[in-house]
Amino acid sequence: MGRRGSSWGAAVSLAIALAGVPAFARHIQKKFRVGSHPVVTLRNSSGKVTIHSWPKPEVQLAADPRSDKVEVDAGQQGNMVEVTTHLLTDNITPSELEADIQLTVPEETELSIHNDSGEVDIQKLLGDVSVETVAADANLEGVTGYITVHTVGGTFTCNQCSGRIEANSISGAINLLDSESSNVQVRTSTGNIMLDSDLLPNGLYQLRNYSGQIDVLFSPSDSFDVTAISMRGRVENEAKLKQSPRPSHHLPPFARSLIGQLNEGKARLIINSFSGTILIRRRP
Amino acid sequence: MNCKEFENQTEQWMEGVRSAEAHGHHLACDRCRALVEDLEAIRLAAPLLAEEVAPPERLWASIRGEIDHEMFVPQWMDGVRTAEAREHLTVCERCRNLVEDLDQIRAVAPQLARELAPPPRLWASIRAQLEREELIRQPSWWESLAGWFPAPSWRLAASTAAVLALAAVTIVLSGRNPRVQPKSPDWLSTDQPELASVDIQLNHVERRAIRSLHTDDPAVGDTLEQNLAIIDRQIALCEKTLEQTPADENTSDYLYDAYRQKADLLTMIAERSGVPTE
Repeated sequence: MGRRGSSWGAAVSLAIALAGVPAFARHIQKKFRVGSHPVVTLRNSSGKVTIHSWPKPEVQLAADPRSDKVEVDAGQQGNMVEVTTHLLTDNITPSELEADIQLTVPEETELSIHNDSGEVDIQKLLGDVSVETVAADANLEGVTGYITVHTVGGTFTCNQCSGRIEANSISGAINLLDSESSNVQVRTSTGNIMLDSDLLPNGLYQLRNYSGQIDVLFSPSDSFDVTAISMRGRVENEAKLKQSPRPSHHLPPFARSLIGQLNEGKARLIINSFSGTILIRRRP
Repeated sequence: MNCKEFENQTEQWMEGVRSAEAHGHHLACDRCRALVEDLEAIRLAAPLLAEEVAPPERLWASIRGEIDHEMFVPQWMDGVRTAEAREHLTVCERCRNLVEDLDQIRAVAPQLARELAPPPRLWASIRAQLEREELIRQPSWWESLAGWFPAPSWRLAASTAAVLALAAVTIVLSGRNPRVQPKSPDWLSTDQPELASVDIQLNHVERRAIRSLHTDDPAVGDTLEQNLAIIDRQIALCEKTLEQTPADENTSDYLYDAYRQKADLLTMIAERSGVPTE
């Protein structure tokens, strides 16, 4: 019995080992030595893209295509590193299409990322970042720079980001959390928008959707001037606003609007929705 | 700083040279902020309009490839139907569909020619490029129609028309720059007729783009289609609202946004319409 169990164990181990070989064989790892402020571009169809920074003047690529039908190319031209995935055949299933990509880049790097589906995670970076996806979610954390994100249906979340943030989506939600940006412009059609971040003096925050909910969280010590208009939805406010010196808008009678300022009104907050709900809520 | 002084500095502003006074005025003045937004929108669309509205190189390559492959189609549509072409149509479903589509276009062409006058600069540019590359020769009904459908394939027509539609939307909306032309108080009398032609173009492109959409990842194809439907609903609802309240500038802004998004999305779909293999 013991001998039989042991031989089964060996067979299972062998099978696992054999099954692991092709996946391991597909793993790609490359390093590129770069100067200061390199530019890194990535174009991938599907999969999880993870980007971290490190103090070395190097770009490290680790790629794991899920099948032999996808090839990952990487090349360097001067201070620019370009990573692209190619299909090697037209006959490919969605799971075979996937390639997980990990990039480790110098902290001050300019990034341009295209990933249609899957996920994009970018952490701790000091440089301009551009992300374009169709269905993939984009998650940025600790990124400082000019951040532009375009998704069609993917959710964009920016946590502890600073710099200028521009985000556009059609059905994706947009969440700006614990960030410090003086210029925020976000638009989505049916996605929700959440702004739970510092409103900096002289900062401009423009939030716009068509339907869905827009949530803005504030603290009583915040200083902002707000114009919030929902053409066919609701506007709810928990801030003790005083009258704003700004002129009121000409609106149709069915529209709901809120114009006022909290404290000195140092930040400018412009919120628009067509049929969505706008909630200006005090942080718990 | 007043609006005139800010306008004098818009060039520097767009180049990133922004004085504290300009920043202050930008924050305080809705009109100048709208001006800057319009200029930024134009700058975003500029690559499409640069070099006399040159479409992306990938699109040109695709157009060249398709025209080489389907050179017989213009002659076919002009009535020159060789035995070789007839035989090809019996075996090639793709070309058969193409010829059927073109027959349908020809049937509605007179109406399209009246309703869809493309900006002359746009067509002149595409025509010049096609002529430079010796891809078109003498004008025929095909070429006169090609203002909107310049390539002999519906998929290519969709790609090209998506680029044209994007440019058209940009051109129509750039006319709304408050510095150039104040907003009309009545959407029904001015903007609606202009947008009607854009709408017809986009709907044509949409139908064909969806048919030719080919992605290896169903999640991507589904997302693109679903979001196109979202935009269409948004356009329909905005138009309905504007029929009731034509002077409502907020709703017309949402409508223009939706058109811009639709043109962007159709361009994205056209870029993902891979060359089919036979």
